[in-house]
Amino acid sequence: MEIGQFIIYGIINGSIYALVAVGLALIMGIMGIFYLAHGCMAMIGAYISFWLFQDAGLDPFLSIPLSMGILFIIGLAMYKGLFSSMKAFSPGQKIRNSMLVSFGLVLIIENMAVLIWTANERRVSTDYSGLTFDLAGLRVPYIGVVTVILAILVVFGLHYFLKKTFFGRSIWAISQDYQCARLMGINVDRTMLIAFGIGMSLTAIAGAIISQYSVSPSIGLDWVNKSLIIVVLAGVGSIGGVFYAGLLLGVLESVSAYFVGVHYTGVVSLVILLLILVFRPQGIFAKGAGI
Amino acid sequence: MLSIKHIDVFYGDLQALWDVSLDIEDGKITSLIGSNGAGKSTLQLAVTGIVKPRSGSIHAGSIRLDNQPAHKIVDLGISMVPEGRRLFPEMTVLDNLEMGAFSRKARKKLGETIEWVYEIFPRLKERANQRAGALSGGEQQMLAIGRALMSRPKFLLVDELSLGLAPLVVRHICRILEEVNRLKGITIFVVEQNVRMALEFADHGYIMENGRIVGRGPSRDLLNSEEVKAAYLGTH
Repeated sequence: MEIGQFIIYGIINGSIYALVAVGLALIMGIMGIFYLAHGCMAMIGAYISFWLFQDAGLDPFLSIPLSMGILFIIGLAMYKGLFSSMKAFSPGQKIRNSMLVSFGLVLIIENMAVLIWTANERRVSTDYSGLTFDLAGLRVPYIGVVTVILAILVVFGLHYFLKKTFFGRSIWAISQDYQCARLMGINVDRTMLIAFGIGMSLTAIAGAIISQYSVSPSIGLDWVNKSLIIVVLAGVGSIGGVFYAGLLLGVLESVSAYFVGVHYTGVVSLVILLLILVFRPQGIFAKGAGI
Repeated sequence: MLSIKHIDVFYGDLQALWDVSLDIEDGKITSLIGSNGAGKSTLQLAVTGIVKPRSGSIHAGSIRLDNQPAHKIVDLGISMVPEGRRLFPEMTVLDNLEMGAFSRKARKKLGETIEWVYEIFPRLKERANQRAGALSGGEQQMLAIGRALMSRPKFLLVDELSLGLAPLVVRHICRILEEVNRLKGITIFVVEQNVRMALEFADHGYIMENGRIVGRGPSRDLLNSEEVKAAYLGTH
């Protein structure tokens, strides 16, 4: 039964992965911005939740709307200041430029976080953290259940938003043909700005959950690393696939921790990334390109 | 009337259009002919607001267009079929059509307009749920025109209508555009390299060379003029 317990934790971890990665799937997969600072935004989200919990006694799940708003605004400023000038670049040029700019952002945000919150690890512990219930002999934490539900809601919510609403589809149209999207009457500047803000605000949800495990200024790159693997695993441009890819990665890591030891889980995810890039570069869960 | 007055357009330091003036009469079909690289597409892109003229003006009726962003110009009733179709290849035919009706005004009449476009191009209805990238060349051009009509334009600009299409398909599409023009009163402005086709199709013609307008007149006169015959039609 012990393996079952590992799978449960794998599913929960995988759901957090999916929650972090879904914003990146939008920003990188659809908008074509290689955004290395994505994990740092989740870190900021986690600190906001931590702050609101510590100073205002606000439950981390209840702080989500507020931190989403804050990250949305940070995202707008970031896009305006750093990325909007890349909007008409060719895809390759856009990736190179945004990678450099966002790597600079990682350094800035990490150092700012050390200044503001110190390098110590922080954690939100509520009355219910650590509480579990019994499911067929396995321990399931309550937070884990909420995490899985949130991941499903957010990933598939975003998927349908992009597929079914005019606004969502215009984001998709811009990613396929920037100039032609303008001919359709789409206000491309405003749309990209808001889309970036949405991608940023989604990291607040992941952040609220991360804050209940552990947050420190250096977690940004770890999270973006996982997110990149998931976006590639799901297939660049796929949103719904992010959920499955997150679960797959979470469970594989957790099962490998059971079989080969917890120190090798990072290796497992990178080996998966390599195998995917060699054998199925379009991703596992993408039928073709596109949502 | 769509009137373009004395516009100069630059790409960086490179001047693409020189003092171009052109009138497109309401309810008529106007064509702009000229060789590859003459600046014909640039002129249409200037009307749609994708490129901005450095000097001169563009008006639709009494509304000035050249100082407005591209997405506002679509709202004002100007729609373009870009060169090479430029469909959204990963979207279905239906999604592409719906993107054409993005502007708020057009969105309200979405259902009605789609029915109309399906009536004009029944083939699109059959292929509604296929990916646009999987269509044949002729079907793609039909979809590109259908998508442009979805915004309920007063002026329809078509860039390189016949490019890469079989003559039979071109004739079919021209007939449909004539119908759209006659029945719905939509003004059509076509840019074409195929001079004979363009002049036979249009009421009025303009000739462009190296970014300048070098000839104009009723299409029939242009078709019969010795210069046009010598330069473009290869007959004397």
